Amino acid sequence: MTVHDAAEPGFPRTIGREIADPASIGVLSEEVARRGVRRHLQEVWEDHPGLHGFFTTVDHKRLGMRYLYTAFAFFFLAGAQALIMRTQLAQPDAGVVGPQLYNELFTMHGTTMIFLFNTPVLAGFANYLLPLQLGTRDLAFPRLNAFSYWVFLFAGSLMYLSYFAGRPPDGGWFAYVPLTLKPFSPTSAIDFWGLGVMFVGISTTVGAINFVVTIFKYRAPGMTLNRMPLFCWSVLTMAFMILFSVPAVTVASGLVEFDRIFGTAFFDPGRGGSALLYQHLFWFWGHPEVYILFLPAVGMMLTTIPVFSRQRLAGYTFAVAALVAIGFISFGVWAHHMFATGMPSLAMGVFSAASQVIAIPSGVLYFCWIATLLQGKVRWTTPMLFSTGFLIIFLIGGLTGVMVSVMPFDLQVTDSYFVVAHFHYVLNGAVVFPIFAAIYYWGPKMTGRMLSERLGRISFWTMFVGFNVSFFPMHLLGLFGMPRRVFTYDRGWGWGTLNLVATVGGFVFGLGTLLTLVNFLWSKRRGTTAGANPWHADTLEWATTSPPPEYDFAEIPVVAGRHPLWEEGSFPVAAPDPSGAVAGLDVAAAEDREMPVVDGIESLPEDTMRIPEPTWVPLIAAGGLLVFFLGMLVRASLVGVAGVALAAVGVAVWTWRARDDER
Amino acid sequence: MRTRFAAVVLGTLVLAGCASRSSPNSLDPAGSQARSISGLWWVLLWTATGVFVVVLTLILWGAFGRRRGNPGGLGDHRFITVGGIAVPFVILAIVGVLTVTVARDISARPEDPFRVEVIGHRWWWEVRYHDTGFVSANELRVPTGRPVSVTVRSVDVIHSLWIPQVAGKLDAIPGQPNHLTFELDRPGRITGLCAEYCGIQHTNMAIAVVGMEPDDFSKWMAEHSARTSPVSPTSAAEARGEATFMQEACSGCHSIAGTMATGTVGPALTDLAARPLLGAGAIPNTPENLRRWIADTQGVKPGSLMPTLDLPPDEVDDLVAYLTGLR
Amino acid sequence: MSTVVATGVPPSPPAARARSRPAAWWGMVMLIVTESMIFAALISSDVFIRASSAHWPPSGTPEPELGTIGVFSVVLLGSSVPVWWSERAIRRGRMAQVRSALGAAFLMGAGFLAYTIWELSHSEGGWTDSAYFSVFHTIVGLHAIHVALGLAMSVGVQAKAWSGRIDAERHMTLRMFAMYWHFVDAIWVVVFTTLYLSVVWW
Repeated sequence: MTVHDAAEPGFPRTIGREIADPASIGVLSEEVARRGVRRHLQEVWEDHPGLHGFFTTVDHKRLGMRYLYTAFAFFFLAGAQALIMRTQLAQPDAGVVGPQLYNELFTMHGTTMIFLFNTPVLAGFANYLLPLQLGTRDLAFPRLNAFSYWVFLFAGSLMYLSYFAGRPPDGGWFAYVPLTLKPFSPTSAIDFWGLGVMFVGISTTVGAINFVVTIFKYRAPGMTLNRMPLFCWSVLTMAFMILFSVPAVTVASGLVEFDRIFGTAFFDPGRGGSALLYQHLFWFWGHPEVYILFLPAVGMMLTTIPVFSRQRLAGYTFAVAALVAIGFISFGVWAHHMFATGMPSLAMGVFSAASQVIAIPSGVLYFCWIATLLQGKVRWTTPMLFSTGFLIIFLIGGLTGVMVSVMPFDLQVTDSYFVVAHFHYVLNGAVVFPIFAAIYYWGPKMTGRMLSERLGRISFWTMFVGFNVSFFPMHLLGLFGMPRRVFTYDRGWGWGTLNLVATVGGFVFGLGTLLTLVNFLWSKRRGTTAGANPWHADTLEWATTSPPPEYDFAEIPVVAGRHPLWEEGSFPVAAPDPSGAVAGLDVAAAEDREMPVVDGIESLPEDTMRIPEPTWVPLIAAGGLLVFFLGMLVRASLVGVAGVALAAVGVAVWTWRARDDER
Repeated sequence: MRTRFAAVVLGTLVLAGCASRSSPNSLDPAGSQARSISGLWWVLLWTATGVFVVVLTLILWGAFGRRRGNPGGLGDHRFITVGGIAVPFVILAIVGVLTVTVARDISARPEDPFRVEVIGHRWWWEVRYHDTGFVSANELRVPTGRPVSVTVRSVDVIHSLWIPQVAGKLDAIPGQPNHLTFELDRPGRITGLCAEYCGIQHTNMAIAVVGMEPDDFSKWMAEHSARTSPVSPTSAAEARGEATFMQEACSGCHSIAGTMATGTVGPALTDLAARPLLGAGAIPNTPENLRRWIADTQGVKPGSLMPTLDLPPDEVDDLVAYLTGLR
Repeated sequence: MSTVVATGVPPSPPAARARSRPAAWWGMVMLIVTESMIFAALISSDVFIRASSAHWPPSGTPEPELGTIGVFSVVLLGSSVPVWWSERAIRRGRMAQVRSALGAAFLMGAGFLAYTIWELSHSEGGWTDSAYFSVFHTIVGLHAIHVALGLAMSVGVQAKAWSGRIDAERHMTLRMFAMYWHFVDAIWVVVFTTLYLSVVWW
């Protein structure tokens, strides 16, 4: 198929219909609008007004944006925690915070960033973008989606309730036993962590189920897997990884809570238990988790770099294979977090080798990007700046990753500031920079307004410089012997200068992130109107208005290639077919609140699904779970039972109403 | 970006030399294992730098160059396969061989090592010498030029013994003794730290590792056996201090070889005066600091399991006089 | 207005094509995948603790008895038969058979659950006594919770069967319940083998 530069005039036209405004493809043709359908569609799809609508919505776009707002609130909380730590470390014996407070800070910083920011923010983007990129109207299970958000909010709130109780967790974000068991952590602080982790895992898991089924069954007709946008591929891989890994951390934190609440003996060597068991369980999830974060970020970069190179991605199949390979291999490397525990050397060798092998698919991805850049011509927009920043930062992070995979070397640098530098390069640089690119890239689609390019550029450079100034010196500190999780260090060891530099860089980086926050808030009101496709991009979300109407697409697009908006010739949109052969693709289906269901392989429509009405049920079910976990926290079994009952009522009503339409 | 990187590398070399002698700098090795790993680091650094420069050049060339067709005449597939699979595979294979070689180097079992046991507590290190049964704390003395075999254990939570100048770290896990081998090349003091977060005072859990020439070491070891008779007080203050020590809570937690103080909850104090630091690295060992430690333990090391004793100041002075005589 | 459907996608009348598996079916499959991994993590924990122990069960702890639990295992696994039967029956519209099959499966499952609860409360050791008992009680208890959830689902499906909300054409909840129930039985095979058979016979 020939690729066509969408910047040229002659935007694709619908088959058999003239459309006055080419940018409104997939929304409403004039003729349809003339029939007054637009108002009817509005009524059918809009939520209840005000708070009622807020609590009952099942719209993936509203929920997706809610995920983003909530996750970013946690981001700035965790960022503040980081800056307090950096202030304490700027000089030896700074006396800014004492050891107890410092330990709480690093515990909550890590826990918040992983569980309450990085994971949910990517889920939020997936929530928002999946139906739009796939050319449909919502996720497979809209009420489950709402439930997933409420669980995330409640779980995060439960964790932060610990501050109000004066008991923030202080066991580190991975909460090793025996330190986190009762004898050594007698207060309820760790319970906020353990129960919070179990709780938030429910959100992640049901979200993953939603993403998998949506991708399997709700793509636009003609969108075979081979034509699916790469971001969707990354979400698919991520979702499968979640399903296979999250249970391990649920069990790990669950067994810690059992030992703490009920006095079981899982991790007590005196009664036959094993402290190392916890580490295996935790890292079996922990390592795939970082790739769960990395892959959707990569998916975003596989989207933006081609668009801003005005060139389709080179090596689509290579990229898909690389995503899937990373997904698989990531399950075989977890014990590289445990090289210092005294494992048998054969096992360490295997994990070392596997950890090195995973660099190869990352290399493939790099050469896909490089080939794309070489073939294209770059437009230096803010999203492209962040994308290029990602390429440089992840290059460094990936290389230090290969270094720490070398077991003997890791024995020196694990649990030191070297590995702190490494994982911030990959988790902050290679995940946060793409997320910021995504804000600038998809923000206009979500709000209908462009963000300020000027402020965007300043924000990028501030973040990029601040990031490197802060985290690069940490490699050196680790080599010089500075361990992790220390609240101060000896004056005579010469670490003061590097720490001071790192602190300054950290504040600069934080300032950069605030600039984007300001940019986003300001441009929501004052930014220039974005229009449907301000970036001349190729995927389907740009074929509808910015922001999209509640129903996403009035008429479902039909797809014949990987780059629907870059195809030559007409842009196909299914028109009403009186024979009824292709149900669910036309405006009438939209008026019935329906979207088409396709078969998974050939993506041919075979049925329609009716999207549920807004409802309180997901909120009630999530609320019931919150009550349950609170009951466990305070050891009040009646409260726990009440919570389970409430959740059960919610679920019962939910399933009772579930349509039994299918065979 | 490139100039900055080169400057940083040079800075590394400079700083590596500049870091203080007793700082736990893994790039200033004092033993064969750390030397192997340090050598490995330099190889990895230069390899990574090379890859970084090449890939960055390609990225920048692509980002800033004019639009072009297939790069260098290669098709997409060849470019991606060579650059993304073949070349990384070769580099990683070399890294893999290095991994195995150095791993084997550092895990060789020595013959007739000097045996010692280091046991992690919250937040101090217990040191037990196998040959004589001598028990000390927060200081490990070893003969130079001879392999040392350390059994690393813990009585409570997971700690990690890390002496960067001689070897990589090894976790101290309750219920699972681990074994660390190293050799110290030269006499003098180097620093070890706890490298696994173990609670409120994880930061203050240093261990001084002191290398002594074999003859000096044998003499020292002979003077410090489990059955050494106690140091006799040489002044009235010291005698009062000794009496206070035995009568107050002190002897319930601490031990001093040859006396009736046999407590095991806290560090052994037999050679307290010879140690460079107090409180496992919290403060330097001076009489003033010792007074502060006894009078206001929680102020010096908050969260420490030693309570602040409410002793009248003259008793504290006596204790200090007694304890500063313990070598 | 043109009625041509888009390029490249031949319209196919739904009746002529076999339907692929519906979304809800896939949803249940994914749920089973993730629930299986919970059991996998717990079983692995049992194996890990066992591998680090000199004796298993630890000295002083008697081996589990196979008699009664064996019988009830047969009862539980057997309950998959009426569940399978009810799926067959509903496709033919035989609602009476559906109701009795579901009822029978419910009784068999409830019997197993009752025995499990009795066995856990009369166990040789409490779950705080040792890691062996912690693991045993947790895995068997978690499985029992899954059986209980299945029974609750069964009540819901039976309610739908009795009130006519499911029929030969529309019975997704029955399909999902059946899949879940077979999963619960399959997990019991693994649990029983690991916690009972392999301890006594190995």
